[in-house]
Amino acid sequence: MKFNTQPLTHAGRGLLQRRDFFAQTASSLSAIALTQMLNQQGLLAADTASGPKIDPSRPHAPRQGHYDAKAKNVLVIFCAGACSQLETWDYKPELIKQDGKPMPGGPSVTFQGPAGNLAKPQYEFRPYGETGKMVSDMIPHLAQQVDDFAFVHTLTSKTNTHGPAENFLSTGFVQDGFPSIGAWITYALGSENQDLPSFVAIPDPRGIPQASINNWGPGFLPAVFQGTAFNSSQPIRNLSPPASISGGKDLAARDLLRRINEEHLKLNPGDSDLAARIASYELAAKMQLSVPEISDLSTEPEHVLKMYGADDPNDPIKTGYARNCILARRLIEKGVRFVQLFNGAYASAGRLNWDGHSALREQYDIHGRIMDQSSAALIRDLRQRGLLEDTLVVWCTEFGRMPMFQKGAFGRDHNPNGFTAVLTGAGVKRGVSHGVTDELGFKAVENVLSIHDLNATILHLLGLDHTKLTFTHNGIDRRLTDVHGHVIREILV
Amino acid sequence: MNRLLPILVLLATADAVSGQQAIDFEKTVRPILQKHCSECHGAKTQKSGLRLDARHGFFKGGDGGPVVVVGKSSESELVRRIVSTSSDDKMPPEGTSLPPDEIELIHRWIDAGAEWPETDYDREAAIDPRLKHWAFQPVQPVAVPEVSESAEVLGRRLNEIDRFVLAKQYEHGLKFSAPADRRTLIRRATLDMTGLPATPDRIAQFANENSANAWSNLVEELLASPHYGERWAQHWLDVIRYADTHGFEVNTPRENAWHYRDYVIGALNEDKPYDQFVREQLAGDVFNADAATGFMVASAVLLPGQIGADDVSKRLARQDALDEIIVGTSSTMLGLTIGCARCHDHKFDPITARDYYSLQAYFAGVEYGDRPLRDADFEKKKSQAAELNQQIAELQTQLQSYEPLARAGRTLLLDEENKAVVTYLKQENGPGTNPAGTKPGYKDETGTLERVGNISQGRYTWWNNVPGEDVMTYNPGVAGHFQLWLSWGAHGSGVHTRDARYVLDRDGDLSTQEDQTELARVDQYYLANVTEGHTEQVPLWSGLKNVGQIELSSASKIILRGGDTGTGITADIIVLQEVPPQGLAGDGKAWLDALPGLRAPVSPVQNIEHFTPVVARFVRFTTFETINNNQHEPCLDELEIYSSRIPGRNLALASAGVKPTSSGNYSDIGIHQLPHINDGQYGNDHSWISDQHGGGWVQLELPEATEIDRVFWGRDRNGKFPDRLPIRYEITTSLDGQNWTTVARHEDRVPMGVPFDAVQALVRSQPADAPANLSELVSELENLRSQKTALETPVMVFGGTFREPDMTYVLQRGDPEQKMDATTPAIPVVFAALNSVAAESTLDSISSPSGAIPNNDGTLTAEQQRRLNLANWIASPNNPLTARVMVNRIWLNHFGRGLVDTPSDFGVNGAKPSHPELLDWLAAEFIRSGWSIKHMHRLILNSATYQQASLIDSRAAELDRDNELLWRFTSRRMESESIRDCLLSTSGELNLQMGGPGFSFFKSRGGLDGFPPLEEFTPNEMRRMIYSHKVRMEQVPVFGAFDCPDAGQSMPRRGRSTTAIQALNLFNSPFVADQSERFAARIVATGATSLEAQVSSAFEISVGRKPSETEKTAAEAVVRDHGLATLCRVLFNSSEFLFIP
Repeated sequence: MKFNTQPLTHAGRGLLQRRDFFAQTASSLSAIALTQMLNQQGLLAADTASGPKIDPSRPHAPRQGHYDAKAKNVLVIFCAGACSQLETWDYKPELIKQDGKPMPGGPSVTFQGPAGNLAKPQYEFRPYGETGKMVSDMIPHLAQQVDDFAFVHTLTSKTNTHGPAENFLSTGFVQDGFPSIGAWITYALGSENQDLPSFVAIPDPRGIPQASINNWGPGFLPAVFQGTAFNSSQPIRNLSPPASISGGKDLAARDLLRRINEEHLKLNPGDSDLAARIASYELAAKMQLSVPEISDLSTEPEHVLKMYGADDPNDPIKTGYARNCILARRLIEKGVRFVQLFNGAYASAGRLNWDGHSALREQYDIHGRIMDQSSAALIRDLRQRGLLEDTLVVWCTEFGRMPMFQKGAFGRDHNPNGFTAVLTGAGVKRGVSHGVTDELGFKAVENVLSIHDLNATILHLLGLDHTKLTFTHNGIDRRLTDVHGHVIREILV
Repeated sequence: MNRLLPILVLLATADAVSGQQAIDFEKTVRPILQKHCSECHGAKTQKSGLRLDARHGFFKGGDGGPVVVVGKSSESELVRRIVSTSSDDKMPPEGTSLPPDEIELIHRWIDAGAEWPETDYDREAAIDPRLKHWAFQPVQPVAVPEVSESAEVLGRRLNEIDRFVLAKQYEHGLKFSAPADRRTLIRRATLDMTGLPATPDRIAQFANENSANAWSNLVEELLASPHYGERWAQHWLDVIRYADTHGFEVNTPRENAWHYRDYVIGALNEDKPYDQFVREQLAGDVFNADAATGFMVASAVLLPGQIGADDVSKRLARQDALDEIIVGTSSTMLGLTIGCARCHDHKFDPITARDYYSLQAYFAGVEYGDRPLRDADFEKKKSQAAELNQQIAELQTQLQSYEPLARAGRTLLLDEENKAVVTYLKQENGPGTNPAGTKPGYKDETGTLERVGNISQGRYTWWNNVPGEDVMTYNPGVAGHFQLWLSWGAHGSGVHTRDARYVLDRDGDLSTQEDQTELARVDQYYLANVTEGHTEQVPLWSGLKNVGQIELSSASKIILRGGDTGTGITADIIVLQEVPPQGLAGDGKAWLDALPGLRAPVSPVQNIEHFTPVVARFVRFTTFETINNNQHEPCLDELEIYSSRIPGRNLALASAGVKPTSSGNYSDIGIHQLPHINDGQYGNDHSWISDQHGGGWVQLELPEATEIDRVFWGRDRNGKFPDRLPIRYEITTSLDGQNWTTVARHEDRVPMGVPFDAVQALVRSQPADAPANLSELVSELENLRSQKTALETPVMVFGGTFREPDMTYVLQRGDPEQKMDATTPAIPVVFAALNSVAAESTLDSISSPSGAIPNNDGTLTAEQQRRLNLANWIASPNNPLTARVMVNRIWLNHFGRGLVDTPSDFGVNGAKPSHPELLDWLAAEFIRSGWSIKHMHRLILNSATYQQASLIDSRAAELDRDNELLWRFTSRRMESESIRDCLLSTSGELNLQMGGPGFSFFKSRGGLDGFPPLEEFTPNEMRRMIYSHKVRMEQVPVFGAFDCPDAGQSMPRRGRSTTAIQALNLFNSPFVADQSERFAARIVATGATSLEAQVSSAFEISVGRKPSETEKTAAEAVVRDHGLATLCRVLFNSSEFLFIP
């Protein structure tokens, strides 16, 4: 009879720490053979009630969700710094009329200080496509695809501070230390590609975003599910040995290490941790080859570089972002589960991200040019290659901006009360807009949504029930959506 | 069958009595409810919150309210439902309805008053089942089980732990594994206890030691090692999410946080009793353990700049900050997850939202910030500082006798920008502003022996220079014999005139020229008294140039006239000082000096007026102006009179018969009465205030005429009040109270705010009788004073700072904008209800803890008392959770899993203990030992359980896959810190220096580049990893990938994942490559020259054994072809090196 003082009600308990994975380990197997055997025995993985079954030596093996998925992969285009809904997707004719007037009943003090008067959108809007969706002149390339997009105009955040708000968008909590959405998804589903990380974060060429690695961190999930950060110009740290170690030396070291580790495993039969370590070195060796290969854009044809806007040697930032967009497509192509592409970096008085407090038009002229063409090309390219059949694309930002200017300035303050996200691709309706903000674009009034709803929807499209994807930490069954969240069914096919 | 019987009886009875008799509830009604209702509304299930099988539930009703109106069956919902035929609401919802006679009985019973005598069953059922949860029950004394010593354990020393473990194993057909071999044992224990590897020598010694005490000696050795504290402190820091940064996006350094880390290391090494440790975490300020208060504020917190400017954001940030304190305290110490009760009653545990806010009230006066560290060292320094007092006082007295003499005559500082004393004859071009800094001519120059401090207000004025043209005049407006000093704006550009003229116009009428005398020509390229070299090309103040004595009438003016050279001409402050009519007698030296006698600015604390001795009976202090434009009446806390004939005695005291009078008093009662002027007491509470804004006099009448030479006065000697300060004043003396002589006035004091070096001023004005080493005495005094200040300045630690607590309110859904009832500090009701600790009485009886350090007034503040109450409740031996939670944490870190597998959740939803009796025995033993953590280590290490081999036995694994029953020792990968420490220890590079500020793993912090890793290392970076500056949310290079917690959320048990990123870092990083080289060099340095010796030594140092034959062959081949460092790199990556065996 099997001893069991407690039915395994604690999701994740013992996860990846199981020792007896090889019930009867054959001690003489080579590492590769071991991996194959693990493949066959995948079902032996930790049996947790609600968490996924995970094979400790193949944590990235593809896993089934809770139900049939519409999407296999996710690409998030994350506009850091709070990109204004009023200068992009949320057209407010009344705000144009009220330009320069005080906002009736509006707040007198906002995040940074005293509020000024209402200010019309800083760009002209015009209708696009068959749907006639009004979009600003800041993003003419993205605007071409409005008939394929689903807009949610009524997202709300719990905080008006960038760091916590980025945490909230990426982890469902404003505090530090919670798992990112990409980590949750790779924890749930593993990856289709065993040679590459299953979750890649691509920081902007200008630098890392405000909440930094919180956006792709593992929180309390096993570290193996964290995002790996690299972009077209910054490789993964320690991907290759130092130059001082020659190829021959490296190979000899690798070989000897495997022999010593196998020897050790032989003396400790049945220890799955030891087997998992051998396997981890095998995957590392594969990544050492596959990551440089995928990051090498020299094989991309001229017309692709041109379409993405990656061909301007005089504009390194725009080119850098465009190259990141190409990298994102290649990762999706290779079956990387979750790709998080950042546009915008750290707080910098709006210089390096979308935080347009002081001179919004001037700042957005710069950022719009960088973001628009390449992002539009990326989505178009994915569609042309048929990748949107099973890839979900989400364009989002941590919160929106106020309809008035800040007192004495020409920019808008933080506004968590109603902002826009755009979804397209697998499982998403085309050409729909959901939710309405008030006529000045100050706050969501109809079909008000929270970040939790957006995250629940992303999980849903991947075949995951956001209420069932849990991990027990410190006595609480944690979820990406805390105790909230409803799938936004109105925008789904 | 049994169930049916009473029902039959009931039916019979009911028929027989036809309601005439009282209804026997137990026999008649309860069985009906039992039969028809209890499946959905019974002990196990309570649909719609309704329970009908027990009295309390029946009358309480369900979610929709009561279901019974006593005496009125027709109005009772229960009756309506059981008679209903509608499928929507009939009860029971499915199956047949109640028979008519039973319905009739219920009717009658309710109408008759629904008599329900309470039985034991009802009483038991009324208790919230959650209250029966094991962890909330008192720790019970447990008998150690007897176990028959089977063959497997014969020859091993079994202790109590082993007997509990074995008893459980036997129940499940398991047994101990064989004892681990000695090399394994010493490696295991050393890594486990210190996080460092055992040395090959120590391993060999232990392996060959035959003494029966070899093991227990080793245990004691490890417990005594200072590295024990460094290792085990990390476990605690993981739980409390300690970091050296504030977190969130800005993540700025928390520079003084490391004191807490050192405190924990120290507390563990000295085996501070855990109950006291707990008290110090919450009330360290009461126990001389300020650093310990870092516990409360260990979490990330938003700094003011990151919080919205609006009040809503501020209130939310405060609530969030408090939430972290509550969550941290309850989960760390009590193993309770209480955070969810911020928004709603806990889903699983009997903790209500009100409990949450009552706990919050204990912390309502706690803020995150730096506080002074008043530890033993600080106390020592304080007494050292006190020892300096005597020396300082003596030197002070000595130097005071050389205090510069006050000028009885007039002193005038005429600033060229003060239009009351100057006239511009031409439009000026603008000011020249002296640069900030203390160099000569700069704005903040404090003066030297040759120069006074910058009295020019930091600006000069300049005009176009036209030769011979007058640009402005200074208008002194006083008559008499004066010494004159000039100053101007100097600039190295060379455009200023080299020969500006200063001309005295005696009658002040510029149109008459015959009364004009040229006083001086000034080269405005240079500073005063400089005639060669280069001048910096910045606008400088020249300093003062002495141009001799002049006779002034009250109309006289001093003209500034254009020189022959240059395109610009400047003016700046001039100084006039009256030469006394009696000439140069007495203090003649000063008059011949190049510089005017200028004294220190008026101080609100104390001012000394030193004058030529005078015989006086009356001394009067007259105020002409007070600070802030005469905003208030002047205040003096004490007026003192001294004579150098009677050193050190204040002649002004009322007790010596001195009588005060004044021009009028602010009040004749209270703290500002006239008698306070000479009552010998300092400070605002014993001061005199005049009745006139900016004016009034106070005078002292001595019993007899006395020779005096000093008056001391101040506004508030305690230094708290700078207002009401006289800034224009005069001190006069008289023999008869009629004829007065001025002995000192404010005029020769430089204005407040002017940079002034009192020492230089003193030395500059050295009187003839001053000792030669005056400047040495002065610098000695300065030195002593700064020593004293340094000794008295406490080290600051990041911890709780405490203030008057805010009112605490229960908040709707945790939202500070939705206040509900106010609440006061209280422990969760469940603990009071369980009576496990008599909450209130306990709190009362412990209000004066032993060892507590009261505040200056001898008491604890109400705020301190609050926190101490909570601390004492948690640290009480009667608290059911505290000891259990802590012994489980200790156990967990030895064995890799706890007896309770959810170490921070001992609540209803947490894991059940695998060995409940053992847990309670350990908890009781912990308390019995005086809460000694080392005692617990000793028990565990000396158990046979701990000393088992780690090999997996497939039969045992079948029965108990996770080794919950401890049939082997679970070997496991080390934590990131140990990996790095062991690696450095092995390479010989580890720096074992303990304590102090953390070293950084990063070149720079935060912002766009994030945290780029450091690539060059000094010995400081080679210290143990616990001494690194822990950056919240940021992974440490190379080693962070090994599940190193990010200090975002509490990490009571580390993950132990295995990832390709770990492999990349450990195998490819330049750091590991470099350490491999150093390890190789270390091996060679020990004299291992042969291939065989080198390979053997590499294995012995890294994994504590010689290589096997196959390893030897393979390794020697690699070393031969690729060098020893390649083998070292391999060993650093080997599983054996990285695992606690």
